[in-house]
Amino acid sequence: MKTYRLLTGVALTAAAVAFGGTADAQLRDKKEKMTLPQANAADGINKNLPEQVGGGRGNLTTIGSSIYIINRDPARAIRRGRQLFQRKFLPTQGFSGRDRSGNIHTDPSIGAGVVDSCAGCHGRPRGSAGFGGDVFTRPDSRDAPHLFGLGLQEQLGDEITGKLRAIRAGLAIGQTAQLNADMGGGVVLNYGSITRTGQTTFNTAAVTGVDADLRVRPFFAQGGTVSIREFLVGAFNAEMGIQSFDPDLQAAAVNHQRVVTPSGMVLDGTVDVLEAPPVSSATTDADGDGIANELPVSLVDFEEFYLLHYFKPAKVPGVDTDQVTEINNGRGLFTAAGCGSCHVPDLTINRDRRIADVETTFNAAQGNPFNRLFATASLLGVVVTSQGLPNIRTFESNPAFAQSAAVPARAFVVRNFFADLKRHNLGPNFFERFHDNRTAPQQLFMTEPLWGVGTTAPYGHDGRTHNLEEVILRHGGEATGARNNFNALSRANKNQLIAFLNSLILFSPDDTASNLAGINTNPADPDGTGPIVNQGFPQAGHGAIALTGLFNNTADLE
Amino acid sequence: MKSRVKRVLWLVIPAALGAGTLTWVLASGDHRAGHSKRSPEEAASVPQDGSRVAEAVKLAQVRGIDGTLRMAEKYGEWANDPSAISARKRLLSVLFSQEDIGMKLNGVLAAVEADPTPPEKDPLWEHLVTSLADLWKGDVATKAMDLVMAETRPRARRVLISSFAEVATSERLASFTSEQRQTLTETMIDVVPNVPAGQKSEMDRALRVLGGNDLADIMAGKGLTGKDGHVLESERAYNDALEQTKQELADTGKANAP
Repeated sequence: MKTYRLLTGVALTAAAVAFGGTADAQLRDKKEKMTLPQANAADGINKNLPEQVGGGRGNLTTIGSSIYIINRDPARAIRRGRQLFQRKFLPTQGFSGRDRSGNIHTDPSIGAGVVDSCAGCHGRPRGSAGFGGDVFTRPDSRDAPHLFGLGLQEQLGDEITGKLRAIRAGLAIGQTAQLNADMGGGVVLNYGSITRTGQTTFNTAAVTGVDADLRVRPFFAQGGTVSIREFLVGAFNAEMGIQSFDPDLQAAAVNHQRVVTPSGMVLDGTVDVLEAPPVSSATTDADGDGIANELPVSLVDFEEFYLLHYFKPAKVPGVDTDQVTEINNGRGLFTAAGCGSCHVPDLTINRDRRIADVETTFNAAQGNPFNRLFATASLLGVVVTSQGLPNIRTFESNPAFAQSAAVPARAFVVRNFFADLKRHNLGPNFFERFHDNRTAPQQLFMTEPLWGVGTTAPYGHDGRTHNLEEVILRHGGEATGARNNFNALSRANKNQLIAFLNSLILFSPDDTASNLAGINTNPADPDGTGPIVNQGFPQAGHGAIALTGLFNNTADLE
Repeated sequence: MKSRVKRVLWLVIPAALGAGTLTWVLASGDHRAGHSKRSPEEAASVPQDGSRVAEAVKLAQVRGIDGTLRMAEKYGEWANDPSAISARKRLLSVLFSQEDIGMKLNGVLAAVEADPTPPEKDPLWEHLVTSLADLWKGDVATKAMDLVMAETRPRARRVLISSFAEVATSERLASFTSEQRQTLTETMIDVVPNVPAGQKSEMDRALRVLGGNDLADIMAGKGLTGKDGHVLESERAYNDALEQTKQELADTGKANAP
């Protein structure tokens, strides 16, 4: 067994090739684009949709299947998910304007906007799985959130759920316990208390911040969805009119079975209420566009794996000494004002399912002129050889662990997260109406993780507030004390706190230099199809977080 | 990062988290009172129990995780016995001498957690803090700062935090890169709200070095509202600059007046 090494040298060479697929924020299939006159051969996705589907889901020995690629060529799996995320779908591939007839009270998704790619809503900063779109699923609208760090968010929600349920399981009849999830570092997230009233019954009246089933649902502003897989299958349907028959969601949500997705997420339909796929079989054409199985399961697998690994946001601790001081003071003021009681800065995952982590920060020496950031990728897995096929990447384990049952196998500290994965009432200024004029609006919202917040204006789930100071002052309800503390700060101190928030940023992966692809100087003819007219722009002095160099076959582009 | 080093580092957090969990249950509550703090030198003036030293030497010969956990357990068991100081120091010395950094921290933190003595009264506390601080170099320091955030055992967490406060206020800080120094600053800011009262003063000293007087004052709750009469240095500079600008504008206005 040996640790997989970063193939930096190879990546530097391959990176220039990889740039060829990243020139647009949303990508058309390269083979489609080649039919256009004067097409730029370097633009677009190298594989067409059937090639991306590959060998279907398959298994560990089915070459080209999603399970094979995820386990044996994970960088390719991530890249394929990325290209799928950017892909502009065609009507012939199932994309459609949805039939707007129907009852919006019972199917709010028919009020959603229609867009032909994931990046159409999650596309800022350029080329990222970021923010940007207005998702019209509510009359007051919803801003599409950024997806940076999505896998960490999923894992945090899942592990907190496990801790809360372990407390519940340990109760004797008549016993009451505080629902305290110990996250390490002295951080304890309290979800109220629970009392066991019988063998299988509990009094959950004092449970707070989470449903009575104690399942933390980290996704959507109201905390509605458990997993990345449900999130993406739902969004493909609601926002793009592309229906997936996903056998995992079907098994878990409809057949109430326990399944483990290829990304390692446990969807346990025996204990959790999960979201069913929009169609119940691969032959069902729910939207009547003449196309069934519009998003085959292998594509769902790649997309889930990609989002599991999506980059954490970056931070800029300061570009000079004065700014470093200002931002550190601001972080201190943020904590001292009480903001950190809900926007908890750091949380720990005990078992990280990712195979890599990327740390991105300000680096004037190694960053490129687009953002002066530099990303450092670290692979977390190891490789074992297997039956003459490409290696299967598995997780590290410590021989000492086997002798100590209480040891978490793969801890990872999620720094600069700034959320507690609980629902809170922030007062009427955050309330949200429903289409059906229910008397009670949506009052509870998940604490918004603040990583990236410096680059995601406008603010609030509805995009109603134009800057950070105003959205802080918009807080009420449970956050009234912290809001008042902020308001009591002097102008100088407010500025420092805001400077700190502005240091938490998103970034364009294609425009960020990294240890996978440092700044290149000669990007001419990256794909061997002839010189580029605008040679030197924007790739000269560029750099990117490019995965191509980590593929088993670096010549086979995604 | 070399692969072997990297692999070892990834062992640090979980290994340390785990072993101590087992030994925590071995510490009985009635050990928690009745200690008065004495330095190791003072403690050494108490006649030392040779049989315990001999037992420590014997324990040190047991290899692997079993031996490590057994030493940690004994370190805690003997905590209320002043005549066992030498034996306990011997155990610590063996635990610190483990070559593998994961195993080293696993054992030391398990031992720390097994000892029910309040840190303020623990004659070996400073020795532990400085010995740990000496370990925080290079990538080990980076991973150990993560360990501060991941550690769930109160006493183990406290000694880790104290060891980094020790780094911040000693010449050891010079070996940190600017990135590590920034991470340490952020770590200290983030953990301050959850440290026990007895640890606040060392945090204050560390924050003053790492982030300046304003940061330490802010974390101590000073100068937040103006009601306490404390004005932060940055706030004073801001106000002075504002006044100066106003004055310059006024002077310019006078000079340009017809």
